[in-house]
Amino acid sequence: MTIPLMLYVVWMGLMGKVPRLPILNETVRNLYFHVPMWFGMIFLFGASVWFSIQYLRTGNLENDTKAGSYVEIGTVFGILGLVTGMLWAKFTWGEYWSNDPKQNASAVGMMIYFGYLLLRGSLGNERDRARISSVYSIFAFSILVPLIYVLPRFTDSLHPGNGGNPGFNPYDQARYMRPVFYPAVLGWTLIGFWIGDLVIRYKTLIFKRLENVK
Amino acid sequence: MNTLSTLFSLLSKDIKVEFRQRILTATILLFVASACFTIYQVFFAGRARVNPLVWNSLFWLVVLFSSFQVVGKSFSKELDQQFWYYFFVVRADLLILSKLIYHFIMLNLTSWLSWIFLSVFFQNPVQDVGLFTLAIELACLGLSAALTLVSAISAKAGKNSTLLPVLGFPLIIPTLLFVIKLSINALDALGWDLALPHIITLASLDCIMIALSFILFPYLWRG
Repeated sequence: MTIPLMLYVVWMGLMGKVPRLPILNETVRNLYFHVPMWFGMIFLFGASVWFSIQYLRTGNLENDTKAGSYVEIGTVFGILGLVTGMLWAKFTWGEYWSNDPKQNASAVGMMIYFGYLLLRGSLGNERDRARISSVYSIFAFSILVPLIYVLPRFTDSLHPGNGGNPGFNPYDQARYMRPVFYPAVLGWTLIGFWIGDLVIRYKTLIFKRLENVK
Repeated sequence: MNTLSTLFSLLSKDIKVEFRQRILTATILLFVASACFTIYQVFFAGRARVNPLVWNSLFWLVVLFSSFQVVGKSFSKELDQQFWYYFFVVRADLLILSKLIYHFIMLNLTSWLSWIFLSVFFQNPVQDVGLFTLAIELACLGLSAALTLVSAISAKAGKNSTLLPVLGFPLIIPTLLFVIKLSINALDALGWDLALPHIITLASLDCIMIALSFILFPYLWRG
């Protein structure tokens, strides 16, 4: 049981090294760090929602541990995405925060998930915590999706590819960048799930020890 | 028929209680009135002019903050004493539906009052009344859908006053942003053609939230 799991983890760790390939461009390099963060975040939150639904269906507390851990890691990814984006924005748009609809939406997303973590922290009883936070998580995610994917379409964004800005499209994104970009997305996402997996196993261990003590 | 009559009796119970005690109505009236008066005083003292766009933002801010007053207390009773009684008598999805409708009515009251008060203190800049009314209705639907479930969550968590704003604010921002875009259309009477994409998006967002609270509330209720 442990051997395939460890192999899995090692494979993920190796995959995670791929995006660190240095490409000697200027701020474009942020594409390998900033953009995959959002992919990773949304995949992690998606996984969390999946496990929340599973918890509500089965009532298995393991599913709730998974849901909670993936949100924790996803929030870290979101913060990193915001910070890398803000640093990049300082050098390209001139301001750390320039009221860009995507920036605002991701900040709101962070607020939603800080609320989720607060809600989890404020509940002592495991069953209550699992049930209530699952309900909130599903509700919040389905509001987050229109916020991130629909709202920015209605307004011009400063982001590359929007409102006449050059950038994120097949012509500008040169051929030599794509082989790094897609593995970067995959690699960061897998790193996220790998850390999430570690957190889950750690929590499960603590849970089991507590059971034994009882 | 049975479901409908249950729903109706739940709803009429809430409304009757409100008619007897009039606590929430009085709270809303006072809150909106004092908020609008404070805004008036602040703008007057600051010698700031209120143009239609500022009026619009102020209007939605008043509605937003009073909506937390509207939904804040509504589940505390249900979860306290009457909980066990309800648990055996009523289906959970009917309970949330009646609460949604009740909040929708109270939010309507709030928004119309804010409109009246803000128009009294400042001028009424709304040119397309029909479109603005539609914006108000869609906003009340969205606010009621988003906040009813969150209110139930925070009531279940037992920390109603602190958790509700923290969980609620981020969730109503999408609705609020679309509503403001829509109501700017109504202020300038830009016509329904331009507003149509916003109306459709807002209506579908409302539908998503209502459907989700309908599906999710029974799980919350069960424990």
